[in-house]
Amino acid sequence: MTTCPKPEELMLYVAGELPPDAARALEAHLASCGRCAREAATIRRGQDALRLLDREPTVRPEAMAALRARLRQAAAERRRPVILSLARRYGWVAAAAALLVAAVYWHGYEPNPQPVPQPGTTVKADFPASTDALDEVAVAVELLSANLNSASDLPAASNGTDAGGASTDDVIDDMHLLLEYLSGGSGSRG
Amino acid sequence: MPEPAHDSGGLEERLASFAPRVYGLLLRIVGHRNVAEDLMQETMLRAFRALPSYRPEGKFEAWIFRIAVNLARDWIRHRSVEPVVGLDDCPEMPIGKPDRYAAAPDAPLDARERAARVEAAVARLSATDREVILLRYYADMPFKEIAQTTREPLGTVLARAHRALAKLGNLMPEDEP
Repeated sequence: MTTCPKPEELMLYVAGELPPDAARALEAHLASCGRCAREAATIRRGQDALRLLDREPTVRPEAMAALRARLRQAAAERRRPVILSLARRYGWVAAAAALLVAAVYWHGYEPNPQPVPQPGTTVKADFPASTDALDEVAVAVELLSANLNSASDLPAASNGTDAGGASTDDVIDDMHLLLEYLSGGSGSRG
Repeated sequence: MPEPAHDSGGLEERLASFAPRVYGLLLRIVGHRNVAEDLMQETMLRAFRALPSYRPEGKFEAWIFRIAVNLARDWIRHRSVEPVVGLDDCPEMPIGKPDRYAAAPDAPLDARERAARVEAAVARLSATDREVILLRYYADMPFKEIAQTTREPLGTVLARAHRALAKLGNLMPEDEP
């Protein structure tokens, strides 16, 4: 290289991002051009100066705690839409019933008659195992039960028993969706 | 870095591990500690929520830094007051107290003083020049990726980096690292 490189090219060279052939040519130029060599040295010192800054400054513990809390909340919210969409479509009772049936089916149990939760009642999932998935089911059932009487959070079906005119096929499809949700990350169905 | 785990527990920890560097980048872009903390949290939340649509075309951490930079830009664009062009304008990052924000607290005093000088010089750079060298330093991004992140031509990004680093380099004596 006989002519001086453009600043952009010199920057790429100092950053180590110039292709090898071009880098060798530029190196040869620097060996014979004091002005460019000084310029390259200045940029290198600029890079070194940046390294004086703390790259991982301490985040205040309360900010980290808030971050973790918000991430946990986001993780919880990620699990809710299937259940809530069921409730909005069919009503809370129908959604709760679907959830219970799906949970029993998922767990590989002969379905003993399970009472459809009545408004205001708390439903406990009566399963012997306490896998994470079943815990989630129990939490979801609690959520649904809690919402049966919640006037502020009633689904579009407006009362807890309205199936919203959905067909049986729709219900089955959504139950399969629910099963997929329940099985997610927990291996195959039992 | 390996691709992110898609289970939320592992992801939560992985994101949290990026928090200090993302915070460092944001702090030096926006110049306010509280704002940087808020934006850092928002960055992680957006990454968490967007993870199902994440396509591993580049480094996972570069994707996170891209989210952070976009949030910082939005914040700068929408705030009601003029941008803070120097950290000495920001009461939360007073120049002259380098032990709080620049080099690590246990660094030798000389290093901390030099770091304070660099900190002040970085703060005086134009926002666009500063963004380029901070992405390079905090996110380890190649310039091509920085160009994609900032949506500027590669030549422009390189010119910004050259200009900014030359200014910082002139602060340092020639015999110093």
